[in-house]
Amino acid sequence: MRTLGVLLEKEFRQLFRDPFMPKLIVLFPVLVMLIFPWVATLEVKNVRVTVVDQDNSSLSRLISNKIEHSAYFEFQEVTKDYDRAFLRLEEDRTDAIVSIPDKLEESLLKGSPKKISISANAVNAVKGSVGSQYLTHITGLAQREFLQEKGIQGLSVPEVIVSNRYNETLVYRNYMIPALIVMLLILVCGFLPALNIVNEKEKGTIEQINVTPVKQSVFMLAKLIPFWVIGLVVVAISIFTSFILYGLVPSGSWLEVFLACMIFIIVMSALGVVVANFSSTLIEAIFLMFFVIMIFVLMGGLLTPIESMPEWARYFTLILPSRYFNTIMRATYLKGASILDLRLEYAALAAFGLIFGLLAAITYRKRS
Amino acid sequence: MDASNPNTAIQGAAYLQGVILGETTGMSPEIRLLFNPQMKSSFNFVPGIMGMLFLIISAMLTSVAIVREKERGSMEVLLVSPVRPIVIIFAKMIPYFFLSCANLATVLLLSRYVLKVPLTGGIVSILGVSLLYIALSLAFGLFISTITRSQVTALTISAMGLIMPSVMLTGMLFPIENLPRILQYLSCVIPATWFIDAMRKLMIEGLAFTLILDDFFILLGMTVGLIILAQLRFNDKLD
Repeated sequence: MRTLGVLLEKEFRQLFRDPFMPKLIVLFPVLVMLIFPWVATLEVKNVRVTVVDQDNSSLSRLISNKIEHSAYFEFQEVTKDYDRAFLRLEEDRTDAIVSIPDKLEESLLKGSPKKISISANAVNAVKGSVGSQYLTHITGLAQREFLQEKGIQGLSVPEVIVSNRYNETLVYRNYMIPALIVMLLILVCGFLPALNIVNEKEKGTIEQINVTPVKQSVFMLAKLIPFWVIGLVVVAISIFTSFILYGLVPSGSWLEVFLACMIFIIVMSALGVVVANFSSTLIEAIFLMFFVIMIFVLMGGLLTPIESMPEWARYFTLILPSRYFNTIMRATYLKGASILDLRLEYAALAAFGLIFGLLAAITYRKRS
Repeated sequence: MDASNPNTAIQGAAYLQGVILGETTGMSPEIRLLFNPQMKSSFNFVPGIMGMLFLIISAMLTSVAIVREKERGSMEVLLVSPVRPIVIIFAKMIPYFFLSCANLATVLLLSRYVLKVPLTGGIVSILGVSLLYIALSLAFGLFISTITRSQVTALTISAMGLIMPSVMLTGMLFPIENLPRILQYLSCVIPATWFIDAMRKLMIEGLAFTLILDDFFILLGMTVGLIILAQLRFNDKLD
C-alpha cells in the first residue's frame, strides 16, 4: 500500500512537471464544450431553392411565396426555364429545384392534380433528403390552402399532430453534449496514458522501476489512477461548462453519470496501457492508438446513429466499449434512465474494464 | 416520436405526414435526388475521411521529426553544419511525402473498388489536389514540431488536438452552411475544409478541375505559408 502511495506521488509530479498538462486538462474540455455543441447539428437550414414555374397561376405563385417566406429555405429565383435552374444546381448555386408543371392549378381544380417535381442535390445525403421532405410538406400545405380558399371541401385533409418526447424542444445540441463528453474521455484517457508510458520507455526512466521489486499490478495501478483522476476532472469541467452555457443538466442521477464515466475511464486508460506495452516508440504507440480511437469515435454511434449502419457494421459495434458508454450517457442525460434500465450496458462496460485491465497487467514486461 | 435524436424524429414525422397526405389526397410531389440517387452517405463520407486521415497522419509523422532530434540532441549536429534551414525542412518532408503517397494510393483504390465511389472528375486532378494536400499536412506537422519542446506535447497537439476540429468543423459530417457565422469563419482556417470541398466536387459530382481552382489556390497558399512559418520558427531556435 505504501509503495502505491509513493509511486502515485511520483506519477503526479511527473505529469504536472510538463506545464502543458494542466492547461490541457482544464482548457480542452472548456473549449470543446464552448465550440462543438454549436457545430454538432444536423438541423437542415438555408436550403437554397430555385422554383421553375411553368404554370404561372395563382397557385404556383402561392407556392413560391410560401417557400420565399419559410425560415428553412433561401429563395433563389423563379424561372420558366428548367435547364437554367439545373445549371445552377450543377454550379452549386442552388440545392433544390421545385418544378411546377404547366396547368397544375387547372388539373388540381379538376380533382386529378399533376405532380410537382422536386429535384435535390443529394451529395450531402441528409440535406438532400430533409430538404426535399420540407419542400414536399410546404407544397402540400400550399395546395391545401389553395383548395380551402376556393371553397372546395371535396378533399378532406387529415390533420397530423406530431408530439416529440424526451427532447421536446428538438435542440440537437442536447443530443450531442453527452456524446462530446464521451469523445473527450476517449481522447484524453486513451492518448495520455499511452504517451506517458512509452515516453518513459524512450527516455529509459522505466528501467529504474523495472529493477525495483515493485509488482507489475501495483505499477500499473499507479499508472492508471492519475488518469482516472484527470478523466473525472475533465468530466466534471464539461458537465459544469455545459450547464453554465446551455443550461443542460443530466435528467438522470449525477452519481450514475459519474459511475459510468469511472468505468469507462478504466476501459480507455487500460487500453492505452496495452497499446503502450506493445510499442517501443512514441510514433508507433500514437498510430496504434489513433487507429483504435478513430474506430471508437466514428463507429460508436457518437456522431452517426448505429441503426443506419450496414448490418455487418452494426454487429461490429457490439465489441466497441464506446457504444455502450455512449448509450448510457445519452439515456441518463436525456431520458433520465437509471442503472437498472441500463444494466446490460453497465455489465458490458464493466466486462471490458476487467478484460483490458487484466491485459494491461499481463502484457507489461519488466524485461525487454 | 422519440426525439432524443431530433433529426430522426423530424425526418420520420415528415415522412409519415407525407405518406398520410399522399394517400388521402393524391397531392404528393415527385422527388428526384441528384448525383447520389441511392442516398449513400458513404459517398459523401469518403472525401471527409480522406481529408481527416491525411491531415492527421501526415501531421503526426512530421510533428515529431524536429522535436525528436531536439530531445535526443542530434539537432546540434545539424545546426553546426552549414545546411540552410529551408533545406532541412524540405529534407524532413520528402521521405514522409513518399510514405504518404502509398497511403493515398491505398485509399483511392479502396474507395474505387470497394466503396464504388465514381471518381468521375479525372484521376489526374484528384491526385494533384491530394498530393498538394499531403504536402500541406506535412508542413503543418513540421510547424507544430518547431513550436513544441517535447515529443509528447507535439503528438498531443497533432493527434488529440486535430481530431475534433477535423471531424466537426470541416463539413465532413456536419454541413458548414448550418454552422453559426463565427464557426464558419473558423472552418475556413482548417485546410481539410477546402480539400474536402474540392474532393467532393471531383470525386462525386465529377466537375472539371477549373471549377475547383479556388480551393486549389487556397491550399497552395496555405502550404507555402506554413513552410515559411516553419522556417521562421526554426531560425528562432538556432540559438
